[in-house]
This record gives sequence, C-alpha cells and structure tokens, in this order.
Amino acid sequence: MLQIADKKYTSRLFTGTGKFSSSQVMREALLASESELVTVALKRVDIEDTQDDILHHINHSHINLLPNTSGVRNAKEAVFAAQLSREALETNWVKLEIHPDPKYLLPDPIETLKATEELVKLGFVVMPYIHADPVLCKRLEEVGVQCVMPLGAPIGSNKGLKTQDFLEIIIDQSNVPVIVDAGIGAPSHAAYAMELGADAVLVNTAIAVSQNPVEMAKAFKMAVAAGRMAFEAKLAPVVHKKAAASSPLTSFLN
Amino acid sequence: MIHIKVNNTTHLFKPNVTLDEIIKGLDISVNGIAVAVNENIITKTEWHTKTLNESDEVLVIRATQGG
Repeated sequence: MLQIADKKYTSRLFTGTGKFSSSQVMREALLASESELVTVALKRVDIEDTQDDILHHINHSHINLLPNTSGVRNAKEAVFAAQLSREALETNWVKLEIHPDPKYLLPDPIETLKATEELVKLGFVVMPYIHADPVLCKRLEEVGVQCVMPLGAPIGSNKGLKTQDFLEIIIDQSNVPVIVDAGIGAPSHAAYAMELGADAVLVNTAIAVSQNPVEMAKAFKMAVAAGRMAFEAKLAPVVHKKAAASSPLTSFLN
Repeated sequence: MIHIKVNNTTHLFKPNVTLDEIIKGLDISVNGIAVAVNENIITKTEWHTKTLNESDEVLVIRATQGG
C-alpha cells in the first residue's frame, strides 16, 4: 500500500478538479476514479456569488483534499498560499507548484527548493511539482519532502512520458514516493508510468476534457491498477538483437 | 466610516469594525475560507477580536477547481 507521510492510500491514482464541464460531472468522475487524494486550487472569493463552493461537490469520506499553490510566482507567495490553504481547508498537505511562466507552466526549481525548505520547517507535508530532474529530487529529499512529483510532459499537454529516461533515474534513486504529474494524456501513459515503478500518478486534464469523463476516470483507475500489478509481478526482460521463441522449436513435421 | 478593501473592492464600514462583522456583513459563507488582513493571516478564532483600520486590505480565499 502506498504511504505518504502518515497516510496510506489504496488507490495510486490521484486526480485534479480542474477543467470539468460541470460540478456534477466532476463529482461523478472523481468517485468513479476511486481516487483518495484530490487537488484543488485557491482563488479569491467572489462576494457576489454565494453558490461558489467546490467543497460541497467533493465532500466525501474517502476523498482527501490536496490544495495546490497554482498562481504563485515565487517562494514567498507560495509559502503565503500554503498558509492560507492550511487555514481554509484544515490540512497541512500542500502540492507546491511555482510556475511563473504562463506559456509553458514549467516549474521554477530554485523557488521550489526555497519554498520547500520553509514549508517543511512550518510543518507542511510538501508535495512539490517539478521538472523530471533527478538532482533536484535528491535536493528536495534532503530538505524533507514527503514525495516528489516530476512531470511527464508540460501541464495539460496530454503528450505522455516525454521525460521517461529521467523519470527512470528518479524512480531508481528516490527514497520517497515518486508521483508522475502532468502530461499523462491516456490510460496507457499512466499504466506505463506505473510499470516503470512510479508510486502513483496524478491525472486531471485527460479525464476532465475527455468526451466522457466518468468512463475515462474508470479507464485510468484500471490502467493504474494494471500497471502497478505488472510492476510488482516484474516484467519479462527485453531481448535485443534477436528473437526468443515462446514455442518449442523442435521439428514435428518430419 | 472607514474604507476597507475586500478582495480589491472598496467597502465602507463603521470605525473599529471587526473582521467577523465584515465577513457577516458581506454575507460570505465561512465554510472553507481563509482570511488575511494586509497579508497577515487571521485565524477564525481571531476574527471577532481583530479590528480594522482605514485603508486596510482584506483578502478572502477559498478552494476552487484546479489540478
């Protein structure tokens, strides 16, 4: 069973709440995914809109909320956002994401490391969204993260595991759970990440903007479970430069 | 009356208004919100004792959809 900090998870599929066409579809998809850790963002309250409350739609006994710091540009803002989220949602868990560049949304490694150091001192369980940088992962581990969340491809791109070689190094070296976040666009990508040994994946866009988010959530659930099962069963080795018969080659016609 | 900005919109309140009175006065649902005054977070237990001054800036946030 996956454990992050003091929490154990049956499901290795984490999900996001962005981009769904309606709150009802989001709720049904999240429940279909059986995800136990669900991300939310923070925003200024719209004082004119008293119906504006996402928590009402995702309040469920098995769902833990993971607030993110999306929208912040540096470590100082990230620490402030994390403290606001702790007050608002009564959780000391935070998905730390600092991506000042609005075009590619790539995470700033220096500000992320600085913010992580401070947030760990303040008692947060920090889950940092980062590039698939094995060196940064070790540095974050040294300052006390409870997991790392390297990207497979840019946020919302659905391109899959473009960073595979580096993800494999991270998985090989890491002493904390590795959660592949961003870029996973299809259940096959998620299954592949799990076969490589990722501890979990976080999926949002691929579910939310599919034609049928509820069915897609189920597909991801099955893919993640299958990928993990395959990893635990240990894949057969790849054979290079020749074939390897799976049937006997003894002749039987003469 | 004093001028207080709440999420960047200016509102008028009586002098020595408390944060609790502002939240209630603006009919903001308290479920799942966090509040900061001049970038200092004020915990829920302090809302009723925190008084505001002219030109103070209040930030009220809550969760929304995000990945």
